[in-house]
Amino acid sequence: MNAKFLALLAAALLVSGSAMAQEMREPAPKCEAMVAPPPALAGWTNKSDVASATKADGLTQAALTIDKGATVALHPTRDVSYIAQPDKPGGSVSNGGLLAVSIATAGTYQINLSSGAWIDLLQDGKAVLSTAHAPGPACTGIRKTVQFPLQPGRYVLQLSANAAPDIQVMVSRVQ
Amino acid sequence: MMRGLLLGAALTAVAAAALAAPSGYIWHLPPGVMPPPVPADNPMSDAKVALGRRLFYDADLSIDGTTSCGTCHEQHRAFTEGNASHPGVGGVPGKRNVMALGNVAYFTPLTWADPTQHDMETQMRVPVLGTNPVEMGMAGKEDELARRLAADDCYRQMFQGAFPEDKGRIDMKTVGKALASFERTLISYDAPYDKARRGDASAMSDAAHRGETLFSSLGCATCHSGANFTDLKFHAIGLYDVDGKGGYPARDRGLIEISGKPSDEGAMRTPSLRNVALTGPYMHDGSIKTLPDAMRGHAGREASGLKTRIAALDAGEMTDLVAFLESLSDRSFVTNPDFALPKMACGKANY
Repeated sequence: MNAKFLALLAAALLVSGSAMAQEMREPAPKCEAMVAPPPALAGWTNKSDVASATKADGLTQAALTIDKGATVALHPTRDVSYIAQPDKPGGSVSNGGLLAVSIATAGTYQINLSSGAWIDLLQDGKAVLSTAHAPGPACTGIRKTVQFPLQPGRYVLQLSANAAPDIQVMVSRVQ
Repeated sequence: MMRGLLLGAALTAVAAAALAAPSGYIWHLPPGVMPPPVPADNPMSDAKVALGRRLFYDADLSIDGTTSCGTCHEQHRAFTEGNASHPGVGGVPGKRNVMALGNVAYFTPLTWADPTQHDMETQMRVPVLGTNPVEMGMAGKEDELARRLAADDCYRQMFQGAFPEDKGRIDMKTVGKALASFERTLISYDAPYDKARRGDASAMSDAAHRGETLFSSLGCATCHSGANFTDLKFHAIGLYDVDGKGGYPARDRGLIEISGKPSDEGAMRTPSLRNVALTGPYMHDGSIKTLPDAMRGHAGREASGLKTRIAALDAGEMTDLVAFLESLSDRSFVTNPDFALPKMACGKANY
């Protein structure tokens, strides 16, 4: 048996790229009432409105603020020019967009989403490898979380395959 | 001289592997592997395969554009996914574990527990149109699906190229034919196990060879038989016993839901073990995470006696069995770019 192949594949399956690390989908829990997110995600409660960009040269107007939630307006998928092909592209009736993320301090960051939309975090056009993924805290409105180890710099968050024309997003510092 | 011999051997192998179908389609298969059956009314063609591949990864086959066939059938997992089951559009809970697609063209019946599913051309209606459970949510929206595809210039070209006899008609029938044509190319016979059978003595580890022997002696090969390690029959392996009579949970009782026969309680079609190390979690409901536990999950009824034999295995024997199952992992299959999300369509970036 090719042990190297198995080891590489196991690594890919367990701790892997932005694409592979989002597969653990679970049905949204049934909630009788929404609850406040934990203190580390307090910024999720009060959100600003951000319009996503449809192409790279619109990113300066589509920036997220770390630890502050945003209600992001998306665009019909056919109108979005992705920088890199999403690993799981949405259909023509879905919605997507591009957002700018600026990291000042190295660390692990978590992207929190209100839906199961697909995300790719890019630096210099290439997908950054994620390290963890999980559903969000139950009944907070956070459906999905994906973590990335990030160095200072500018990143592009690609959102794809979202059913609704908007989505709530927050990039939070984990450590 | 040696290089010349190797090249000659390679050419012989290629010659043996490139088989022309009556339609002129060229199958590229490992030596000794025969092409799968192809229905007379859907002969293979490169145009259909290319179209089917694009459709396979197109989320416009789902009501809200979020889910494609490839959403659940991920190549790096041998066309399964890592969830117990995958929620349908809108978060509808899934029912069964996603089955692998490697060598699916050789399988009949298809799917876990429906003996009526013999036809790859129409099986796609289960995920696309099905309501038990809802997966892609297009029930009653067949015209909408055709409208979406027809709105794309490239799709119109591709359907015309794939179905000239139908004047490029876009409907569920041609969509199903194209998807089936692509899925028939998902052939996986290049694992270390296959290489060993073709004479590469170093392809499988000693542990894997010992595991293969155990696999047979334990009786696993009774059901997991043949080249694809499945007898394609329905068996109840005793994964559950909710009533002391071998009953399964109401959420999924297997073949009995179709046949109505009490003897079919919990019966599922034997899954292929091709690439099984990559396709966890296991069982029809994805309730078991590891291969050793999956083997221990064959608890009773038709698997009666197997539980005792598996329980008696020592750690080394279980390791050997797992090594054998890992030898069924086909690297070329899970990395073949011909099976991946296409980056181009009609000469343009597909995004």
